[in-house]
Amino acid sequence: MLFTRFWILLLAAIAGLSGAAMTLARKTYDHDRETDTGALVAADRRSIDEFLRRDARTRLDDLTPVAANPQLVTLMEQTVRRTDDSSSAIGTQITGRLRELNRELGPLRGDMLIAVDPRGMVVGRTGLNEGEVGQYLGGHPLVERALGGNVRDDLWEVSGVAYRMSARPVISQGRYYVGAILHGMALNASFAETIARLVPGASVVFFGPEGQYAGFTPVPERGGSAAPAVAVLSDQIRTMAGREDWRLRGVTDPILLPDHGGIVVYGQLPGGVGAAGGGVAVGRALPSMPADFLLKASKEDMARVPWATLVGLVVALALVGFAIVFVEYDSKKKRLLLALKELGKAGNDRIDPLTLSGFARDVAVGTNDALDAVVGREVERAGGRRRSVGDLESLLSAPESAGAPASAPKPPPPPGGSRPMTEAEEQAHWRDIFTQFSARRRETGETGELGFEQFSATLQRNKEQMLQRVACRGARFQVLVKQGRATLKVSPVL
Amino acid sequence: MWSTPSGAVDIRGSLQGVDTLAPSPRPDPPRYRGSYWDTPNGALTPITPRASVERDIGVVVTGPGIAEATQAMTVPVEGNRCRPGTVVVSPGTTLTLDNQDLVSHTLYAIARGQEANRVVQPETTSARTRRQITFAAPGTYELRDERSPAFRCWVVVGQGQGRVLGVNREGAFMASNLNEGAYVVRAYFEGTERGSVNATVANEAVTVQLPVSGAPTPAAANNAAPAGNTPPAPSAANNDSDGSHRGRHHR
Repeated sequence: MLFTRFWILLLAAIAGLSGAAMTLARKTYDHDRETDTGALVAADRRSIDEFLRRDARTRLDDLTPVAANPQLVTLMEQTVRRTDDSSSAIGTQITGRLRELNRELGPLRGDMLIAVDPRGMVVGRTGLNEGEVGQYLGGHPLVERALGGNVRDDLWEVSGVAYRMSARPVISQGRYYVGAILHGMALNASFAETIARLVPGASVVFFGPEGQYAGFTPVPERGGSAAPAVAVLSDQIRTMAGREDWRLRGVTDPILLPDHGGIVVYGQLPGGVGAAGGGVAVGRALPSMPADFLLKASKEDMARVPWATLVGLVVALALVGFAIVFVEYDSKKKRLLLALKELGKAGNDRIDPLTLSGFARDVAVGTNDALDAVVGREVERAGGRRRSVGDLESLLSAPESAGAPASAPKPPPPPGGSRPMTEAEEQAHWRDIFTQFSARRRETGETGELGFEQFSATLQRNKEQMLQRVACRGARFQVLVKQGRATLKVSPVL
Repeated sequence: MWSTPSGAVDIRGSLQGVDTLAPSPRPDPPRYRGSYWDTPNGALTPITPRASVERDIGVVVTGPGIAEATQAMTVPVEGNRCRPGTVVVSPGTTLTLDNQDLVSHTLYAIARGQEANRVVQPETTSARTRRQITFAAPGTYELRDERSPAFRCWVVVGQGQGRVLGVNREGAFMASNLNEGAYVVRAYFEGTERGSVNATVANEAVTVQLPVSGAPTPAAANNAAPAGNTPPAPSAANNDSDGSHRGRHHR
């Protein structure tokens, strides 16, 4: 059964290694996905930043017809010459004109459209706080730069709402700056959704120093992981101030959300919102290999498995296992059953262990011992006595009448041929018989110490009995295994 | 343009050489990105920003009858700066910052030349709300905004600063209801005195020309000192009888 045990151990080791390999593969997969997702989210943030840059350029370009509108320019020229900043007819006219121009912008219609004179004073506005004039805005970089002749964008937070601002100078007669036009569009949920659709599968949140402005979380695709919720991304915003990468670079490294709920990257926005600590957060779910991934395997995944190789390997392993079991168990069991069947026949009272091997020999020896115990009990009950190691007389079979098995080997010729053995030859013969007898006893599983002197005394006694019974010149001995036990056979030397 | 109470004596004046005042550049903080685009319009050459005469220059008159008591003063914050651009107050004066701007400001104050020494801690003042601050020690301070690096406002704190006068878009100013005597009118820009003129008032209005220059006046340069030192003090005697006018802006 040695090979069977080894085989079981080998199969257990293969099963253990397979489990370890699957666990390792899952961990490796998850780790790789974490790295890949982090890179993807960082790329998402750059994509959003690029889109915002192009969006700002689009708004600046589309503001050109407003700033160059002849009627508006004429009205702006009049503001340069006025002496009173308070609300006046000119303010009403500019506001009305702005309202019309804003409507003509179509999808880029501003939530606020403001005209400022060269001093930075509001001279007309539509949308947010419509009609309010006289407010000074000239110190804001957006306005200051536009009044100086530049086109510029910015991000303002007004009453908790972020606005994407753009500004253009108003030029009169191609020679004079007569003010600037400010255009603002709210950074609202609709815009956040538009941005989020540029990076499918990602959540996007725009936030300011006091919290989020707008955000969008996409609905996960069938079977896909849900992107982190807007609230989850917002919860992390307050930790930004303590991050060194945020303070030094204005953008964070990919951050693993608590409970591995996803990965998020925060990036600073430009302008006033960015200076105040505002930015944009992009988050994605962290794909992980589920524990029951085998049950979720698709047909395509199943088709990629090398089934032929795996089945061949399994069959080969099974065949090797069957062969080992046959050699170590089935064949021995068959021979043992035959020996047991022979035991039941007349004239057999023991199983010869030497004809068996492995576990069958152990069973045979055990069976013989059990039979001895049973017979011993019966003999004692009948007043007889049991054979013991010290009772060597019982070891000797009756000459020619002991019923030696037909297969018993013929005795070897005595030393010296037919002449009587010398004393030295007889001692050597007995020594040889003693060695053979001891070996057979070990083979048949008999126990107990047996000394040569005791053994030789028995042989001497049997020799003398033989000389008295038979007219012979000496006696020779032979070791036999009879009925599973070592016995001696004595023969006369005539 | 200006109305004069009956029986009062006025000093009327105007600023000269305002075009020489150019706002000093404000370094952007690290990682700050003001915009995606800031480019010339392509049709007309851009012009260099100039100081706003009516907002960036603080004009102060000192002399007999000008109140020197510590009284609360309201400073409008509008268009990313305060008005006037340089506020002159006595030590311990409660300064009320009235945010009339569209956006919130998170203002703090540093002593000039001491970037790391914030004598007033940052606090957000939302649009259309107010905040009060106090400077106990004499010196020149700069108000900064954590939300807007371009914010501009200076506060000069010292004894005997006199009355703040409003300046209109042409650079004209007027101090009314004055007693007879000798007065000094000073102009401040970015926290530094840029010009002064003496005016002696008898029984009729006096008209003065106040020249200002891009460089600090010799007196201001000689007395330039970090916070904690007393800035240049006027020579006029103190008189609390005119305290009701202190801190008002004449427009």
